[in-house]
Amino acid sequence: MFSQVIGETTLGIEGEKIIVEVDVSNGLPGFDIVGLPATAVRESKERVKAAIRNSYLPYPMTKITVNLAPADLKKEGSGLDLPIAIGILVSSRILEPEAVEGKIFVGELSMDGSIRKVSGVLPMVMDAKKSDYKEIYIPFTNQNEGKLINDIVVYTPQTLIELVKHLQGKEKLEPLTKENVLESSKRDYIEDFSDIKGQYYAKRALEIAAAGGHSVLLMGTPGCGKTMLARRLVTILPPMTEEEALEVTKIYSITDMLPEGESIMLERPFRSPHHSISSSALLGGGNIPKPGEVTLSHNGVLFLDEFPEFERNTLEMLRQPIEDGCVSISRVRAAITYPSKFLLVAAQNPCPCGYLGDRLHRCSCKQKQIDAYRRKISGPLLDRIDMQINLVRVEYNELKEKKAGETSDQIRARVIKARQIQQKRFTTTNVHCNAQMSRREVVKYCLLDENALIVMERYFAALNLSARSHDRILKVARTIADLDNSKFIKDKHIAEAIQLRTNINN
Amino acid sequence: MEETKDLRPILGQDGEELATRYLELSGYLILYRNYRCRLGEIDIIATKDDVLTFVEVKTRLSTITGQPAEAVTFTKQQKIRRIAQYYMMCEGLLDNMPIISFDVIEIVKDQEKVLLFNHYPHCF
Repeated sequence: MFSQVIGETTLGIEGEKIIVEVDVSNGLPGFDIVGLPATAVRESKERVKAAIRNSYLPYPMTKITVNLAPADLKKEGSGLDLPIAIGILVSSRILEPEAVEGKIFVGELSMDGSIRKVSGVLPMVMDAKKSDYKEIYIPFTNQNEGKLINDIVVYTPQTLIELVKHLQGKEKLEPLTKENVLESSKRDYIEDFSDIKGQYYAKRALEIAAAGGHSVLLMGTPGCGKTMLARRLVTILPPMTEEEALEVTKIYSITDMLPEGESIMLERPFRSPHHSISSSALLGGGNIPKPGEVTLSHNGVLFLDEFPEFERNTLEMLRQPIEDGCVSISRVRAAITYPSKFLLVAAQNPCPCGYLGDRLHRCSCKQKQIDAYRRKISGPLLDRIDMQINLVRVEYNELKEKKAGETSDQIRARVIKARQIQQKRFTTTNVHCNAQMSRREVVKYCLLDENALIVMERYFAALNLSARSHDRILKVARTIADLDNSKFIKDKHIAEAIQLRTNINN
Repeated sequence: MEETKDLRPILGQDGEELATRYLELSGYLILYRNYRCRLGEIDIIATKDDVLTFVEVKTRLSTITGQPAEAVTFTKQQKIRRIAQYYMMCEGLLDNMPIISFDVIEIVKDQEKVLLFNHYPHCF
């Protein structure tokens, strides 16, 4: 007898419906899975067989053929165990075909018949809701991800037999109660901006970066606080919108990196990969591409410490994600586009020994070494970083200052205000902050007053700015003007933006 | 000289005899014993409740070299499946296949008594 059950798998960061067709007929006993199953799916036949038998349900000792449609999509992961098992039970008339209609099943089976956790449940539930399915069955251990989506009934069976009894109408399961997790978001950071003494210039730059989503390069001597500053950048970023939080959670759901017991990523991610990272770990890769660090820091901060120590190739690959906010990875098996709207913070020393330009320490590097060190960061890459700032050492009296500096909360309040102005500005477009403006939006929204035009004109020639630099300066100036609550970009805004950009090479 | 004679064929026949008696008592109808074709041999072909059963009997003197059923390896299973298909072709069953079962019966016995007797239905 033939039966049809719906399951889910993931493709990129989206859920993808899989139609599981099961045919049980007389013939030489055997179990065949067709429809491009990956190894984990192919092996599911042994788990399914043991799980059905160990749940004391009859397993048909005849010819079983399972087809997974669409046939041209490679089926990954173990989440298809459950729909296959249900399909077999329908085919052998333990369950009525009507009992599984309009329902989606996701779960890995253990040999004793319990249902195990799978990765990527959130995108699956979202996909189920999108295509108007009324019910979805997910593993009990994935229940947190099921709580996030409204307007779909989610059941979380723990074992196969529990689910079968529910579908037979014998012992009904309770549907999962939904929670509005976003509202209960109280974010407590251990780190705070008030920990940082001195470095007012850098703090200002990070405030601008947070307000407009601009990328920053911090350059300074060892121990001047580059890493400390970068770590605290997440604490002044505005809270994520529901849409943003779900996007980030989807990424962490498919990579199985959701923090224990958490259902949603409420904090913006902060990723700081070591400089030995390979290009495919940074961008994403693999036979079937998996997300890399640029995607894991989507809507958050990607911090690259010791910037010139990274492989040159690896760094150059950052160009596309910085520019486009997404990264397309093409492999033989699949071409996938992952989102990567991250805020890039890079940190480096001014020279190999680290003390070039320091007031107290002598630099021991030769000019050649310094040139070689600086050359590691290519012009085109540096050109894409909006702000490049020099940090100086913290003086003793600054360090001993009793008065605490501004707290993250105070700074964040200003950042949120500036972001609100931007949101109002970009309501009709899919741009979220100033840094994401395209050429057309720059022309439309970055209006300079008379004095500002004079300043810009003078520096454009004097600093040999590229066309892209020009636009990037305008974007930063727009953010500074937003922080100042000014409709037009004034000369002081443009001057600060130019200063923040051209610190290092000029 | 009688002592050194190879007793294995006799042992095998004894085991198959025992298995046949067991199946008959369990309500099976024996269709064939030692069904032979050019592909090989199936020990017993029997039927019960519309299920066509192909039985492989393994008999041993002791379990020193492992359980008798362990000797039915994957290659052996494939071979039996092929013979079964051939049988069904000859009998004209391919177009309308019955429910099929491949069983293994393992027996450990010496001259006097049976030490172990197991019937594994639906083995492979």
